[in-house]
Amino acid sequence: MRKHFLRAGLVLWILGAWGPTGTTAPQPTAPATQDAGADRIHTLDVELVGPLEAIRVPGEVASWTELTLPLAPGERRRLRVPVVTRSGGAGAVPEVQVLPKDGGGSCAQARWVEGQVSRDSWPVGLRIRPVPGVESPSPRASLGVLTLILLGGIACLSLRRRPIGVVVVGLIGAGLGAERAWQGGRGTEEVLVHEGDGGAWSRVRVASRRLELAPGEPAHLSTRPPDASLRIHGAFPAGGGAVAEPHWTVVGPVGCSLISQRRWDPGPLVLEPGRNAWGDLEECFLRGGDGQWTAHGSWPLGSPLPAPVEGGQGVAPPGGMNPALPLGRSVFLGRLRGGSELRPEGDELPRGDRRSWVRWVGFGP
Amino acid sequence: MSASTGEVGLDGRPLESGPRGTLGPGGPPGGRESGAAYGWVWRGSLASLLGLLALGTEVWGGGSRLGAVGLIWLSLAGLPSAGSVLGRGGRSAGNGSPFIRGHRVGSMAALGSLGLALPPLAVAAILDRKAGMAWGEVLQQGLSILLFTVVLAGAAARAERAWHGGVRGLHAALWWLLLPGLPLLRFALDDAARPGRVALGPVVPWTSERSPLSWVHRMFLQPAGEGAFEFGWSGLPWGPAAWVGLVLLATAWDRG
Repeated sequence: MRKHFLRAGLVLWILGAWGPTGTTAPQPTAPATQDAGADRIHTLDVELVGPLEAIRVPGEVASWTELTLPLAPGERRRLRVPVVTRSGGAGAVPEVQVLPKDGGGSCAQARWVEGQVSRDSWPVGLRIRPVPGVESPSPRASLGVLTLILLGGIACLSLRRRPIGVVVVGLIGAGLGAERAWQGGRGTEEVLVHEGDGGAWSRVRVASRRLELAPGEPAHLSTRPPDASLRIHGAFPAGGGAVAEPHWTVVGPVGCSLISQRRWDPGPLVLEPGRNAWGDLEECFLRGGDGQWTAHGSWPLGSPLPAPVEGGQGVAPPGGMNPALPLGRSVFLGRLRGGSELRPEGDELPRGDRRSWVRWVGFGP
Repeated sequence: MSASTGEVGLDGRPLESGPRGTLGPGGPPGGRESGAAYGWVWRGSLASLLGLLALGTEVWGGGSRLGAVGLIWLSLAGLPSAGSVLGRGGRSAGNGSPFIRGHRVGSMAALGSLGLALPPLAVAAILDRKAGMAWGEVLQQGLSILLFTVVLAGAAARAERAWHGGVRGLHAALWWLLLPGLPLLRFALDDAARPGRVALGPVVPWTSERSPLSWVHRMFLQPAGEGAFEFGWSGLPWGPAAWVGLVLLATAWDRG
């Protein structure tokens, strides 16, 4: 028996020596005002010369950007790389580290991209709306799943003389446990808000810890807390070839909210009291000029705005979406069915809570 | 002191239990035989219980749950025996005809560890997936951890049951060196002292980075979904696989 205590002590010692240096309890982030945080990323224009495997660009607040980019000897490639910086294009150009360090590759040129439009030029209404809070994804196994694993372990131990039986029980336990864990709890959460103010529109995406930047037009990224350390990973889409632009994923620490904003044109999407040419809305709310909210229930595509639901007078929308504007302007708020249009095209969203809203200040005739 | 349990071992001989009130190794010859055959039960039970903590705790640094469960299992599954169960006469002073041969013990421990490790690893993989890790990454890392666990458990059981004491010694030495030893040495020289004060040379970092425990520890500290582990051929843990293979090879020349 002493031997087994020795083993257990040894293992605990190993785990203690290797354990994390600190942990943080995940907490839901509070709703934030879009205008409260400055842009965290700015784009760097770099020209790389092979041979190299990857590049790494240090940013502010212990942040960095990394991109795996195999280049053959002598091959040149020009790229735009998002870098975490508050000073925008006014600060010093960071050193682009080429990996491997002594592999012969180099960065021939690096400079800030000029002419990036600041959010200061946006209509005030688009900048000051509160964005909803999102929960930090730190899913854990429920008590039911833990009990299932425990029972499976006991069953395995009782069958220890029949190894095939242990494997069969283990497979069953793995299947059941995975199914229960998949069904339970919340996963990665992301909220998309189509923000309208009169005739001006923007798209705001709020995510907990992890956000994929849409390719093409640069987005304005802010964070809660505003000085969160960020890591940006770049990857080329499969089958995109050598000319494809990398997709960038921003990752923050536990409890961090990432908020991406970009100007947006709704194009043919129309939302009027007499016509819904936008999408199926699962629930919608309307605030009149008197400040009273009214719940209108679901609003199917192609139909006029339904009448208020029974008892819908005075029913306010979820707090994180309530713009809390002074009286006088009408506000429409609708939640799209299925949380559509959450990610850049073709990307799969991990299972989790998906919400997509339309919020239009100045709705109606 | 020992009595037949009425059950039959893998070679068809009746299994014997230890004395009343004793569990596992350390008893008289019959008990030792059982203990040697089922050493994986002790390691697996402890790993399972610690795995429950890793999966169920709310306080978490955002690291990969798969990495946490993998770290526990890889630390425990192949842990060499603290003493020689048979070296003090289990085989020679016992019934003299082992009821399970070494390779069968290895297979038994490997299958047993596989069955025990499957549920917590599957749940950890799902939790990581929900936290943002890609499916390919989850499968690649999870299956690698499972494979290493099975191989290390089998190697540990084979070494426990080895005919030659040298096999046990070699297995223990390689396990200590390649799994916790080199990474701890690097930590002591580089991180615990002021970084850069000690010239490590190329050997210690190179070898310690390939330790399976270093690999899974990096995964443990890496928040799920950061894409730290590339999916595909080049992202497979070849270095750790080589080290696990060496530990297994240490038991290969036993005649049992």
